[in-house]
Amino acid sequence: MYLGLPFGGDARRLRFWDPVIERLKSRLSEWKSRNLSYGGRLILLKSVLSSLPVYALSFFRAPASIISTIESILINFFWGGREDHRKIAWVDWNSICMSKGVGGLGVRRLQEFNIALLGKWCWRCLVDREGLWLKVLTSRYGVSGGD
Amino acid sequence: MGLVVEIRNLLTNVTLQDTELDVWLWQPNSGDGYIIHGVYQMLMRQEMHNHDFVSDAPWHKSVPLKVSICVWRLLRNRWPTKDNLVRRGVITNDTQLCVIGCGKKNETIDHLIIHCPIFGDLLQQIKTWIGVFSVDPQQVMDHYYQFVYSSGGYTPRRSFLHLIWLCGIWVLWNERNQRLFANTARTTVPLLEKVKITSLKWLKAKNVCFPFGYHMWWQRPFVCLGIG
Repeated sequence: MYLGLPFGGDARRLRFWDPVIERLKSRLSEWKSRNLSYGGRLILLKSVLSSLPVYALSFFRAPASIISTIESILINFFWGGREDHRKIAWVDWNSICMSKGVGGLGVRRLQEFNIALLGKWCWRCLVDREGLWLKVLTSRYGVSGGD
Repeated sequence: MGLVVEIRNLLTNVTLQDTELDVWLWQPNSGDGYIIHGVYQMLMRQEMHNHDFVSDAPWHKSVPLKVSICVWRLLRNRWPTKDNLVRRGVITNDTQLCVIGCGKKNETIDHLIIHCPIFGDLLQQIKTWIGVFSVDPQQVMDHYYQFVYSSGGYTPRRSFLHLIWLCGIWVLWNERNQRLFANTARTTVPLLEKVKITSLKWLKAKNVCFPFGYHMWWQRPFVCLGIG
């Protein structure tokens, strides 16, 4: 670990994401899903749980199975389930993830957010030409493809 | 050769200026450059082509979030009513009668809110309390629009009716669960009291300087809100 991110390692491997999943699970205790109302759980979900992996997602592209693992933890929590006990998910996750203006609850979708976060680095590559990080990257990997 | 033609077409409208520096523009919103939130919205927009159902009915700023989510589920017909549980194979076909015991009626959301003698009557009583009279439609969504919009009125009045509607639904659903799981039954009169007290609490919680007590609220809610 270095500055909160796994150091070295391969982000395409599932093992690489274990710390992220672990942190998420450690935030969920049974009383939270049992004693909070739907409203409370939605708030917790939106403000804490779906923000926990954001730092890792802003540097690495998460494999699809990691995204679905995280989302299934969130879904199970929202509908009041526990780790060993599922509950009926009455509304599908896609609808929950739509913004409130189009009839959802405005929970963030991790796959799309991951892409949007990574795109920022591409944008910075073009705009922020003087950054130290860019110099490090170009001296390590070289400049090619016109930029 | 095709590429040359293409780049000529692209460059026809471009004029170069000596004084301006070259910059990158992010086309989706050229003013601010790349913004993660904006790109996320853009990616989500591609997903949203199949949204079926939009309503602002669940959302009201004076109402607790759990109530909003409850109504959000109602409008999608995702309450765990008995007919929905049968459809998902949780309970068997012969146990889906309404909890009130009002004849041989299956428990659906339309039945609970509009046709059921106890709960339907509750919503009628609420109308009498606030002095709104309208014909009841056959479906929940229409019921909402009828209740909130039928009397026309300006925004504060609609906002108040919206709050009362949400409150009525919330009390109704809790009573249904009480009857089913705790075996207690209240008649419409205490339920109406419950609606009055709950709505007053919600209003007081958000408006610190709401000066009216229970008595005045009981009698004439519109006067309390200054929209009589």
